[in-house]
Amino acid sequence: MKHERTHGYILVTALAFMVILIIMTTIIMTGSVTGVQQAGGEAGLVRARAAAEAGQAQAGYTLSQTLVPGINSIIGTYASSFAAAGNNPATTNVIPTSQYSSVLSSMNGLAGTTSSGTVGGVTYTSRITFSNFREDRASFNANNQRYLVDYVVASSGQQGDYLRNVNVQGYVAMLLGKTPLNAFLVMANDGGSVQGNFFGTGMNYDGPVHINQNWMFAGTPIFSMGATTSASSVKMYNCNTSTWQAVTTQSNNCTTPNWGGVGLAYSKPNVPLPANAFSQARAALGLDATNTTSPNTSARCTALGLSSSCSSVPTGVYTPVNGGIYIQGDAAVTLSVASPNNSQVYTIVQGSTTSVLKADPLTGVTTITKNGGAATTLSTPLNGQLYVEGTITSLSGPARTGTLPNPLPSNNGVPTQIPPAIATSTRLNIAAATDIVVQGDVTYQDNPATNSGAKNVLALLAGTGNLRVGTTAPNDVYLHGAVVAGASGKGMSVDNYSAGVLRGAIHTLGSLAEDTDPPRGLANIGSNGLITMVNGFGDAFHFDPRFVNGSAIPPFFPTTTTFAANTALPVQRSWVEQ
Amino acid sequence: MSCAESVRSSPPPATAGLTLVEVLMAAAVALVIFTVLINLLSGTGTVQARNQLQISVDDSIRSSLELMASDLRQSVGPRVILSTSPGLPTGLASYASSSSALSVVQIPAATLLSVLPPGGYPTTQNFSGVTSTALNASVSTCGATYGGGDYAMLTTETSSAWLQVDASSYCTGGSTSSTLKHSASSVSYTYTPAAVVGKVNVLRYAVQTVNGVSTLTRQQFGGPVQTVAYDITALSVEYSADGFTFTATPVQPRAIRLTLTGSRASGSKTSSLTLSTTVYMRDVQYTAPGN
Repeated sequence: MKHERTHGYILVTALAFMVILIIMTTIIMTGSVTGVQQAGGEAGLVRARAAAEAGQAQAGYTLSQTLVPGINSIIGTYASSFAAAGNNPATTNVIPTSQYSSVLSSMNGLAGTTSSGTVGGVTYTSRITFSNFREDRASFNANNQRYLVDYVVASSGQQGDYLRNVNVQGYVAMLLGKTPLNAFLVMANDGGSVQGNFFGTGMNYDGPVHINQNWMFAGTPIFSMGATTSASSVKMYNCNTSTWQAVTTQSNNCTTPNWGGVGLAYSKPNVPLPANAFSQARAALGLDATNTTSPNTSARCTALGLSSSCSSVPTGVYTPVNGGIYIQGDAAVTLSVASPNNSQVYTIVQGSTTSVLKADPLTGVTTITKNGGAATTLSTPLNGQLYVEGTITSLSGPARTGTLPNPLPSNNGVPTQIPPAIATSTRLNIAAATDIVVQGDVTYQDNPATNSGAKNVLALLAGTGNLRVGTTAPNDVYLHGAVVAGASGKGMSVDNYSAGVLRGAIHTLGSLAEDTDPPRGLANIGSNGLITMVNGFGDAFHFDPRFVNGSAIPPFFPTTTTFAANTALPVQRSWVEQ
Repeated sequence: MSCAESVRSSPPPATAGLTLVEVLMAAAVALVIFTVLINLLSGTGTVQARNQLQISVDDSIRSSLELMASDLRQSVGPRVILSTSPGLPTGLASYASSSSALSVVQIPAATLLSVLPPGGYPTTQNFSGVTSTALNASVSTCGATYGGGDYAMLTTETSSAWLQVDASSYCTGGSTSSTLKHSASSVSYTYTPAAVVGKVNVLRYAVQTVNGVSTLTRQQFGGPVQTVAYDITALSVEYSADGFTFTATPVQPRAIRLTLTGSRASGSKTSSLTLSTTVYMRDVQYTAPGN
């Protein structure tokens, strides 16, 4: 008997079922894959364009944030020649027209003009190209010149087969201005070597230092950012001969300054201490501060609301309309911070009269009281200038609240025992016709060494005199601000520096511009070159990082005659993507 | 002996075959299964066809929006043609943007030519009634950049003005500089070396009927109408001056919201889709006239 076939039927059914399922799946997948490919293509293009825009943004950062130092490195030679020739910036180009093509060539070689990177796995490359360097002749005046240059940024982003290009075009407006004197940590016309002054062990400078002439070294002073001099040689102590020797080297025998890896540069262009670009007296009086002539008695009397025929300005504290604080006669000035709103307080003592001014930065209201009497409100806010027609016999902040710690804070910190003198939003210029005597700590509420956004800034200008650290100033005195003592033979000095006990160091955070650097302490030089301080103060000078590019300049602050780019602002005019 | 043989040759059991009833039942079940599968297959095919239709509409709308967005991102000056733009040449008035049409203003970077200091500068910086502009470009460059009757925009750092180039003899000069004449456009401005003149390109988007089909079109001023995508039935444009409040009334925009509706038919099937995108203007400081 034959066997019947009974099992193939299920197999055929299953196969047919699978074929149909495969057909259905294929149909569905086809639609889905098309959609996915469509979306993927769109996403790829978007990512490529985003990367190209990232490259364009990187170039924008270069243009807006890093161009100023680059430009200054290019135009420095022209600026120095211009200053040396004594040309008039109102009529003569700081950058000669004949050098425009050379400047352009240098700008196109600046670091940062090409960049590349990756954003989310997508690569980009960008390049900045400059062209058409030109001047804005109408902008030329005694203090500024403006130049323009066109730029093109070409940026590409690519992910696999997806490539997008973004090209932008615009111009950069560069404003050249006179370099503010606070561009140097220490800038002196004369290093004082003729008077026996030298820079030695225990002196620490963490910003740019420039001395035109007569500079002398012993031991191991520290210049973290190097130093420059206009002289062709300096003097360094030789322990073998116990003499000061003129050298053109970086060290000599036992004298081994630490140049911070940068070095001492000789024969650099002379940086003159200019005549004051502003009249701080006029500024305080509410007059035109750019008129640098000294206001006569009649003008002062008129500005102060006195009779224009007055023969002299009576001793006192004045707050003229649209001006600052004008003080006739010697005065002691104490600065402090008070509530509300971190108000700036000025306590001014003249004889038996004590005037207290309190400026609220939030409301803009300033009140004044005399000898504890009723407060009166000023009609206009203070303009940031405090001027003393006389000597500031004592300048200080609040008294210390305790003994300073040992060791002192590092990284330019201020001991907590020293209350701030300059309020967060205060921008102040204190000028005296003669000397300013510092008798206490004067520090910022916001320390710019640790707070890059700090706004408070102070200038101390000694007119025909010195900025003196007085005999009652505390040991390890802290002084924040930009100091100028530019009269012939004047500088930042210490009263009785060669007597009494060793007083630690003067801890500055700011800058010092002076005509002649005087001794601030007395030191013995051992036969092995070891420096031992015996009297007075050492230097612990620290640079305010905001002063590097002039981003924080006190009001009515003097400038040098050397021009440099202060700002470079890019303006974007077109945007093309392909 | 036979007994043993009988055991070895006993016949198999009669259970291996199917009865007719069983075969019919199996066939019936298979028929049902195959019917269901065929219906499923047919349904999938229908869905697939509808999907393809929708994908094609989606593709048309997305690519159209991307093209419009790309043009908008490259816009400068007033960004779009506004009927209220001060000094708008009469020839451009018909190109004014609306809630259903968009006219994008572009100035190609290659056409930006620096303006040379006018006579009297720097003593004088303010100039009025200017009908010809000296350019830092050769006459051949001027001629290659501009055509008779072209529209242009002069911009300084603080202001801009519409220009219309003369119909003839509009570029004169030499190999280093040239003068562009725009007699019908008298402008006043404060000169700075940042001043430039650029050629204005206007790109107008609108929905029109082309070959009997509702179509999104793009037309460069003075040029032919280009087809961007067929079967686009509506364009809606909303303008935002601040970047987050949108209105149908044209204003100088910081952002623009574009909405396209497409509808496509294939046989008895129809697919409709509406998509929107918001385009934020790029940071370009090319002042609009009147600002």
